[in-house]
Amino acid sequence: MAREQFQNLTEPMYYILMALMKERCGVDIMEAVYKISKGRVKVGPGTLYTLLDKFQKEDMIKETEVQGRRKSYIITDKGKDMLLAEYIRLITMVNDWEFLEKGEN
Amino acid sequence: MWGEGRKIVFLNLLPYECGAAEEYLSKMAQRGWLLKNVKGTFLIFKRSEPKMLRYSVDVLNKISIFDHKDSDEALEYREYCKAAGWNYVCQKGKIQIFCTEEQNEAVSIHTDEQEKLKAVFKASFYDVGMQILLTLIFAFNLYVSMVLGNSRFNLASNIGVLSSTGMLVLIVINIIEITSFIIWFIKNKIRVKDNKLMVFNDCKRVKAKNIVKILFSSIILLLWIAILVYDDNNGDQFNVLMIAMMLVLALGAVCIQWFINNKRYSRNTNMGLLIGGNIILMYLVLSVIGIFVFRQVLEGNTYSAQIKKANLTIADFGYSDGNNSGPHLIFNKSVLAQNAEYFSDNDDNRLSYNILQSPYPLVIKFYQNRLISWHNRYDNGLNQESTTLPDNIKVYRDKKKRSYIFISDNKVIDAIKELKDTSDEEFIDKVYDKLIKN
Repeated sequence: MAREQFQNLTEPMYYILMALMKERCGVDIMEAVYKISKGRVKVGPGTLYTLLDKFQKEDMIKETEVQGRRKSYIITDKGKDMLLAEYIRLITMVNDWEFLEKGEN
Repeated sequence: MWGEGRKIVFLNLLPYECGAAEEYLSKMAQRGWLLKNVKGTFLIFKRSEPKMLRYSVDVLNKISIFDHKDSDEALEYREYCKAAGWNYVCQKGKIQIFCTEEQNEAVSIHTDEQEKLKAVFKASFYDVGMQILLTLIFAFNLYVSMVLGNSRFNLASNIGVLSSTGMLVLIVINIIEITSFIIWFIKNKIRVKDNKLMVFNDCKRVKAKNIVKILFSSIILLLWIAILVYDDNNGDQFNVLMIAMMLVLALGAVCIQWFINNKRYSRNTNMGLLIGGNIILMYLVLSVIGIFVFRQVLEGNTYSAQIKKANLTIADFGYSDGNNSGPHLIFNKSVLAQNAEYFSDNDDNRLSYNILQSPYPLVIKFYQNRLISWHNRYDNGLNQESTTLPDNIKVYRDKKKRSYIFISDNKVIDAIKELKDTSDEEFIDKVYDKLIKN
């Protein structure tokens, strides 16, 4: 059931996991997502907070440090696998499009 | 409600109506009223310069209704929102309210509509679940008293009339709200699937619904107090006790919540305090009422308003009366009907009857149907008998000639005759002469 939930990562999920390839505290993730996507993707604090909680429950990320109320996280191996799987899925989709375009030309 | 530089508005904040609340709060800020706090179903505003503010009425499912205010999770969440440009205003349970200056262009707190829909649905489930539970309890209560029972209390007692009407109206309101929530959820599920933004009920609609609710609650509350103050069916002392106990319950509940909010105990401790505290409070209140009623019964106190002289007694059939206090009726009266009960027995003979009298034909018809179906369910069944009484008087009787129902234009009499030496005809004639004709 839980696996099914993350079978395809949504855009915010994908970028949050990418941002957590490096250890970051919750608040910094929003800025990191903005920078990685060159301003295209903005993750709201509510969405981020909910997703971090879900990722943690699914062992896709882990807590590394707690300073007061500031918590830092980093992606786990399971999270990396899922991110990679999503990357491959997206590449496959792009390749399929290119194949279709070439075929039509 | 207005005060100096302060305004209190009734608005029940429900998670699935957060869009309407956001729109309302922004309009209030434009008019120079800034939200300061939420106390239950009341919003407290403070006067300020008119501002262009954007509000976010958000739900945080990670916190529980048993958490104290400003829990660690809530404080952590608020830091995330602050970093994104949202200033915390106040909270009501899982609902967290933030605002930001319009020109800040802060990113929305929820940027993933799917996650937002899930969060709002989960948070609404508690409110809607409570509404479903209340609707079922009220419906069951009405079914037991009005359908399975004979509905006498619901008609001939003001408290009964008010409770039944109140429950019926609440069932209708709750069904409308539950249906509205289901429609809202299905509509948004489809919209989110089609990558569209969620939509909420508009502010005007929510305000209109709130006006209906507050009007209804005020009317019920005023009527309830009026009944307790003016209705003499139960005696003045009992009514004063009931008002005092209602106040104790309300104050006790407020004190428990205040204690929880001020002592930062864990979620489980708070749960124990809230549930345990309310159970103890309820137990104490019921005990006080029980002791009062028990003492009245022991002392043989019956309120004068409840006693009327019986027009028909067992002595009218030539039997000695077993009642030491003499023949009397226990009397109850409401705005719809009045009911009188008589019971007397000696060693072998017994007579009891109830007279429900009402000027409203609809009440007589309703009670008559309920009574006949009640007898058919629990007795051997009643059949209409042909008698020598006038045509407008209907008489129903069971095969054993024990249970009788007499129906006239404004009275329904439910009688049990266990009188050895009294014939059927004599009984019917006497009941007509003494209880219906005059």
